[in-house]
Amino acid sequence: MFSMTHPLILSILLTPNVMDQSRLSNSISGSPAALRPRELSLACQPDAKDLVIRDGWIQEGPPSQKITAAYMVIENHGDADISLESASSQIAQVIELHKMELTDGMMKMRRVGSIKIPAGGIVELKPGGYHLMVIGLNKELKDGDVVSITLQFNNDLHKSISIPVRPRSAMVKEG
Amino acid sequence: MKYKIFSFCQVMSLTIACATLTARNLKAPSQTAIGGTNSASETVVNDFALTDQSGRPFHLSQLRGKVVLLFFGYTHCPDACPTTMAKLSRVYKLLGSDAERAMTLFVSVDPGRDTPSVLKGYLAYFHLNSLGLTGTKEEIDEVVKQYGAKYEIEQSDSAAGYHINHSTDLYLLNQKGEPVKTFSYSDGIQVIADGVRQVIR
Repeated sequence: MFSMTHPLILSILLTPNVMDQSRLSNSISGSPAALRPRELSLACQPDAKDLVIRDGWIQEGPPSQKITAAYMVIENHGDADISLESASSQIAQVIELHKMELTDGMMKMRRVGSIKIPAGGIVELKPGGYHLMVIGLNKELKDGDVVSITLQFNNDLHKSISIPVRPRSAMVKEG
Repeated sequence: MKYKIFSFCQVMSLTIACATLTARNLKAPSQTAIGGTNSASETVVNDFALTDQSGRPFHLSQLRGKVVLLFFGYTHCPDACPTTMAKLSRVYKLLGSDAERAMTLFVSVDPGRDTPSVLKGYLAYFHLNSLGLTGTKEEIDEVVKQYGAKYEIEQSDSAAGYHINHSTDLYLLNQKGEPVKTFSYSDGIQVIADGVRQVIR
């Protein structure tokens, strides 16, 4: 960790005018001049408060379906990369991380071990890309229901979110 | 690119037709695309046989007079299939009274899990004028080939079991069952509705 912070501290001390302001503004509020090395070092640990999860929804499906998908936007306002490693919920036996890709004229799906949200970055779980694959639903999900899902990140970070159930048709774009 | 393939195959078709005066025999219902070529536009046969969601034999020719939207997928699909079906339910709304002149066919490429009754329950959810179709793997493969679609079953360590990678094109067939247009996955509901209307009128 020190090796990551050290060059940054040097750059602050030596060349304050060429600092990457946007990167810093993602992680630390206030004036960069007020930074102390100790604060910077802390900021480089993944921290739950640096994670913003928004626009989540889980797909309503045919009543007989035992699988569905959940989507959301994950923002990492911290200085360290964060990895989403797993997820769980009382509504399903298992939740896996999956990725869809349109290649060779086919929509291909594969299971992934983790989803990296780079420092200061955003990852969108969306149709045609990453999703939480919700397997073994033990209740029928209806439009308007709210589902609680716990997301497990690296460094023992976890975050519980409540997201609405939406029919896929409501999420189809016009045009 | 598509045009090149098309014209090449038109030439091929013509050559075959000229060379063999019995070319018409190729239109026997069991015949698939000439030489197993790879585009809907090359298909000379406008029929196929599968089993419908009630377990009854189905022939495409039953739907003469209807515009058909044909899609290949599977009900365990979390993304592309429900997206396409959801798009089509929106397309049907845009079509208004024309919607009853269109029929969606969902051909399952997963006969192992998609029984007729599973397909029936799945499609009922989307409120479409639709039919789920299944069959033996061989029967399904023949139809897949006929339209130039493709799929592959991929074993996975997922708790959901194997999954199926599949093409996501949507084929528009006219009232005679002739493929007239292929919509890509990125085509929006307005594009699809316009395409359907053009054929209806």
